[in-house]
Amino acid sequence: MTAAHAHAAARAAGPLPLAEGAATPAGMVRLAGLAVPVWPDGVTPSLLEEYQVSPPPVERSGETRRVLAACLKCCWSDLSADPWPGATAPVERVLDTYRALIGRTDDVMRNWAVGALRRLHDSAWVVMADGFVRLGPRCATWPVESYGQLKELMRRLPEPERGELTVLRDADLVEAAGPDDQSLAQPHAGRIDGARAEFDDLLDAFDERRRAEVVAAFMALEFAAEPVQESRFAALRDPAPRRVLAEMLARRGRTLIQQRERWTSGYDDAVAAKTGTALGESERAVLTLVLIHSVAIPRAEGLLPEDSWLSPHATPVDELRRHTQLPIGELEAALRVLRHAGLLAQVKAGEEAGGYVPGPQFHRLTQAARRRLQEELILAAGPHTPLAAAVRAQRKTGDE
Amino acid sequence: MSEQPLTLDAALSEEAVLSTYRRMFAALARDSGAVVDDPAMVDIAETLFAAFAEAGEEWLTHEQMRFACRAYPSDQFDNRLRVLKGLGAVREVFPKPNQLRYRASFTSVVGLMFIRRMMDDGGQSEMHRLLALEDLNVADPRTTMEQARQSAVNLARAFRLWALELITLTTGTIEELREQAPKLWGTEEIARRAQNLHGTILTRWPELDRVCTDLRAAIYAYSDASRRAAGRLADSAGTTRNLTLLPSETWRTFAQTASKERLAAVLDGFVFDAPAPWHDPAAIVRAVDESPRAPRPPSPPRRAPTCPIQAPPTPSTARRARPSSGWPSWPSPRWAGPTGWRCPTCSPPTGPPPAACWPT
Repeated sequence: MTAAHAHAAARAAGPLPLAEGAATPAGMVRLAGLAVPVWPDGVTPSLLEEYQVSPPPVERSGETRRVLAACLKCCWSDLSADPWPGATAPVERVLDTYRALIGRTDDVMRNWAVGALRRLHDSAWVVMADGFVRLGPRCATWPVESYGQLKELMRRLPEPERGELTVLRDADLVEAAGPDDQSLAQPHAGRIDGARAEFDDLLDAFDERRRAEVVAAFMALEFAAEPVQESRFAALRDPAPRRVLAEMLARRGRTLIQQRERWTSGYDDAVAAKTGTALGESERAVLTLVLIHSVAIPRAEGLLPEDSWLSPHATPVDELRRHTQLPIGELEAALRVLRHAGLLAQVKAGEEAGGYVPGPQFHRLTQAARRRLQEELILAAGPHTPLAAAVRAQRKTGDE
Repeated sequence: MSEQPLTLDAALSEEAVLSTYRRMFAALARDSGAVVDDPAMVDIAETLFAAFAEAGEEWLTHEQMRFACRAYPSDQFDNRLRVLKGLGAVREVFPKPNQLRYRASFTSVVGLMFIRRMMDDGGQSEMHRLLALEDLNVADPRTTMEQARQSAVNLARAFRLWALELITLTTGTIEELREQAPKLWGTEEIARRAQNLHGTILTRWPELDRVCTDLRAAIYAYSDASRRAAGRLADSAGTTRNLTLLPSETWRTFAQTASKERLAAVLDGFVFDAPAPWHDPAAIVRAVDESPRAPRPPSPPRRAPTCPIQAPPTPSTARRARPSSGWPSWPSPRWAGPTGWRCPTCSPPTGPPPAACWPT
């Protein structure tokens, strides 16, 4: 697997499992059996704040981060060491710590916290299985300089009120009783210091200031919620550094995408073809439904003038619940996953339930991917129309 | 009817409606100005027929008709009623002088339904119906060879004209093609039905071989023109514009009836990002500090306040600062201390401390 494919796979499905003895792809660090991408010159996505560029919104961000703090409190048992890998802790202890932190003990609080834990697990910030939690590999990507801040936080976080009642309170006992599941097995060690300088051959040509501009533009392209204005980043305005950016992206299986005077990045079409989809069947089905209701139907009715896969026309939740063949349980679970991944954005509509529109990830589709999406929808909804016949004929010609 | 100014889009839309009317009734019109020049005229007729359907056996008087069409200006109503009466679509209940009650013609109502259908799908459903009827006709033992020949000739002519219009559109502007083609191009179903009909005629009357060859050629030409038009649109359209070319009902039907597997297959092979929010340590600390019962960060050691303005006095500091006698107890805002008291920092020469020093 090339580095570009490895990066694409890690971006599409989370930290990449690495076989024993397999080489770590450039731009990634090996953390136990996983390869995690790191960023050039030791920056983190926090850099976007300096440029006043918004990252994708984090669902229930305050709550999610408080639960992550509770996980840290329980799993980072030795503050003289790095937070990751830390120790394994029972979920109940994390919930107790969270309860002590926010001073609420009701069921709603518990449900919210469990939801936050699930989101943290889905995004590899924690690993949760069989009633136990440990820190996920993303915790190893915190810069070492921030450890002091976190240690200070750990010291002033309250101990769980039911701490003495927790059956598995002894760390050794927890270790001994820990599940055999490989996902919770203690990783050996590792932090991101050893990351190889992936882009040095490209960036060394620049002086310090220009290099920082290129790195900032790279981070904005890869992590901003929306395409960024060309005028905001010198490296995007200037064709020469923009070419370097394109090369940096190409090494990670990505490509530059231009939308008038705004830029973002997306999966390179050839790399995407080999990477394949990581979304589950229910999630893809629900996403298709939202695309039909929010884009295809408004387009057919002349309500959507822009040639875009984003839309202000929300798909009502009731429409999805009542007028589709999907079971409600699967629908709700899929909506949660899609929302968390930024594939759907929720639109509130006053007192009513509101609805969903395609999320910011649809900015990141290449021209070819957007055209293929249009064709796939036409082939599915009107397979016997002349338009579908024309699509099939074109593809046949293209294949030959 | 509406007092609002006519926008460019509205004018274009009205013109499209009117051009369809003109084309539909060109064969019957006495002169080129014989078709309505305002789509509202057709709406008036439709409102009138709806009122007649509701009225029952008593039918309607002139006043009741006017009331039913009260949303339209009276000159438009009078004009429409005059034409409808002149053509027999609205007639007296009993033909005699000074008749007050009127009835509507069933034929005209059916005609209006036909007009609306033609407006919606450009005649594709009519073609389906026509083909279904012709299929029944040619299978009927009573149908003569001459009737079958006429049927085949008419269908061949219709398909040829249809194909020619599509070919002309295909070589014209893309905007016109996008607007008109979906109403003209046929589905595979229409071509299949037409070929079935052709097969039935040829099997029953082999003598009609030549007419059937013409019909077959016309069907093929039509299918080919449909594919060409669709191909050009597929080439030229952006990355969502072709979605316009399927009617919204097709999309709705698909969304409502498709299985999970069919829906999911649309996004097979598309790669999207896994959720990867960034939780910065500073953001985690901030979230904890903003929690309802946040553990307080340790505050730096406090120095003794030197001036009540800089640090509002607490009762204990106030007590310490109070002179030996004659002071009201805190937190009274009434300050009536003896003259000569001096604040150690702001040092008013005489009188009480400034108002900002008072406790609130």
